[in-house]
Amino acid sequence: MTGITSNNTERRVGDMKCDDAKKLISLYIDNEMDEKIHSEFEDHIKTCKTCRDELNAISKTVELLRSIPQVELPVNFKEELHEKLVKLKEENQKSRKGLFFIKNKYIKAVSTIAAGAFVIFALRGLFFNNFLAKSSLNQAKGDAEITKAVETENVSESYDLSDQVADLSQAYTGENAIQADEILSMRSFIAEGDEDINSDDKAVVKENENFKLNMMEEKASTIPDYTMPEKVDRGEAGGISMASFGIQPRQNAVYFTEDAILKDAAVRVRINIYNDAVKVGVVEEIVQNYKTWNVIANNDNIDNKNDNISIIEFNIKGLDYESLVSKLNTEIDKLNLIVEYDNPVLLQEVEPKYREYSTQLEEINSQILALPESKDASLSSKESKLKEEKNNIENNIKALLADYDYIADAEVHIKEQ
Amino acid sequence: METKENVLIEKSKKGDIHAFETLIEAYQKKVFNIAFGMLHNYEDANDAAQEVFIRVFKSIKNFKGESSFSTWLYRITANVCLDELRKRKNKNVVSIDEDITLEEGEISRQIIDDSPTPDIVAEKNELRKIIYNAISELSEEHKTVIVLRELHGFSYDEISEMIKCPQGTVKSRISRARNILKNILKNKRELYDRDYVK
Repeated sequence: MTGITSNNTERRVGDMKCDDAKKLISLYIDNEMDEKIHSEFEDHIKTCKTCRDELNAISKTVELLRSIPQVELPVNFKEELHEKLVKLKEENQKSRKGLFFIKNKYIKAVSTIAAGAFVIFALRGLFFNNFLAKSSLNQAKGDAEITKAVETENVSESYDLSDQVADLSQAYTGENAIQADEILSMRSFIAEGDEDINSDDKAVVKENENFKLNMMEEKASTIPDYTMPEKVDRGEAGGISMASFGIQPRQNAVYFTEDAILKDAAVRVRINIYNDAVKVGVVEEIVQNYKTWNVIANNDNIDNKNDNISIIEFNIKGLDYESLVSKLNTEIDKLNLIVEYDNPVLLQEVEPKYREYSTQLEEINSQILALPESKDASLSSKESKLKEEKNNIENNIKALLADYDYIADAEVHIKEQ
Repeated sequence: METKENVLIEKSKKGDIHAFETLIEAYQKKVFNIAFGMLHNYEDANDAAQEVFIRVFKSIKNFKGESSFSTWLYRITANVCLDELRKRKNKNVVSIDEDITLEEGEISRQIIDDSPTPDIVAEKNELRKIIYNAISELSEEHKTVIVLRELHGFSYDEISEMIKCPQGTVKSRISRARNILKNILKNKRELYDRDYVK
């Protein structure tokens, strides 16, 4: 339809109504309409002064809006933000805490390990494992059962094993949730004070024979320098009387993500359950739903010797750690407990090499990134060279990681409020 | 292929503050300006922009790269500012540039402004004041799209993604908001340039 319809509500110029044209002004300014409407709109504007004025007015407004200069950042903006970020990071590193409330029914069913009855030694880090291995070597001289255990590189020291603990270890080994081939080792170190060795723990030792801890002795000699936690009492030759652990400051936290090279690496997780605050079985059950290995059940005295602590220590795929922790959180949701956990921290033996490789990797990545986009043959050969180099570094990292059963450790604390 | 930004994002996910600061370097001023456009007050814009980056740092682990980092960042910016505006509804917040009306007439609010404002832009500042005043009269929805579109030049697409609205909605909001602004500014045209708005 052509011609002008002079009507207040339906003014029409060309193929377009003024009302429609006015709605299109904004899109026209932003060049956001298709060609057909665009030319119709321009036809309309050419002939309709009202709409042309409107277009001009809005264009001017937009122009005006766009003309104003940006304001500068406040002088201390970056410093202020930096401080906040540092503080935030520190808070995160200290511990990520959650408060959870226990139902009485859980408290009622306390740990299968009686409070205060035993001191069980937890292994802490590779060196400590070996340290124990060596200690037990000494000790084993007078004890055939233990010697056997050590010969098979299954470190197991047991003192005065009680029925309760035997039950516990049965419970562990009986759990089908942990597949046998995934369990490399299961150890219980139970001591009543530093009393005599009781050979009643055959069951435990026997279990251990099924598990392998290859290379343990070798590693002990190749890893000379694992710094012991300050509070660890190395004990006397012939047996460890007591070990207590300070909670170490967490640095070098490492994050496991799906796409990272670390995705298959394992973390040694140690769950400390204080004062039988929660039934150990509850935690075990949760743990066993994950692919874990090197499961160690332990009991230990930490700091305050009156506080009894049950310890579950095991390896878990790094990727699963967060999920395990959140599962722990939700499962004991209603328990009147505090759950504290930290991020996995790289072993001291692994850390420098790993950092070195990842720095190299980043360097290569940014070099690849910096290559101009081009089909040029010399460029693409350069790119493939860089990629090859990247591959090599990745393989180095994989090789490094393959040397260790686990590359980081993490602690979880479950205690009363 | 990984971009430099992705490398920085990955590092930031691991809690690397330096990488995070490098990552946001290019966006800080824009985030602050969006906040200033929305909130029309230096101190609030500062607080909001700080809050934006803290939130981003906290949640960057969850950033999956479905949208570009900047879009994600500006979406958080818009949300933080809208939160602040909603909070304000219950408070009586005065803008820096709003004049106090006394019986004798209007006087300018005296506020120590520690932000760098070179003399060269003094004239522009006057204009800015008028425009920001006009923008502050808009509704939250209109304010958001105008700030993003006119003050920061985002495309309809980007805005649609930032405020999680269909493009059609964005289009009509921008159109409406421009009309409203045109009318507001028309009444003030004598304040700056008689010829600017007809």
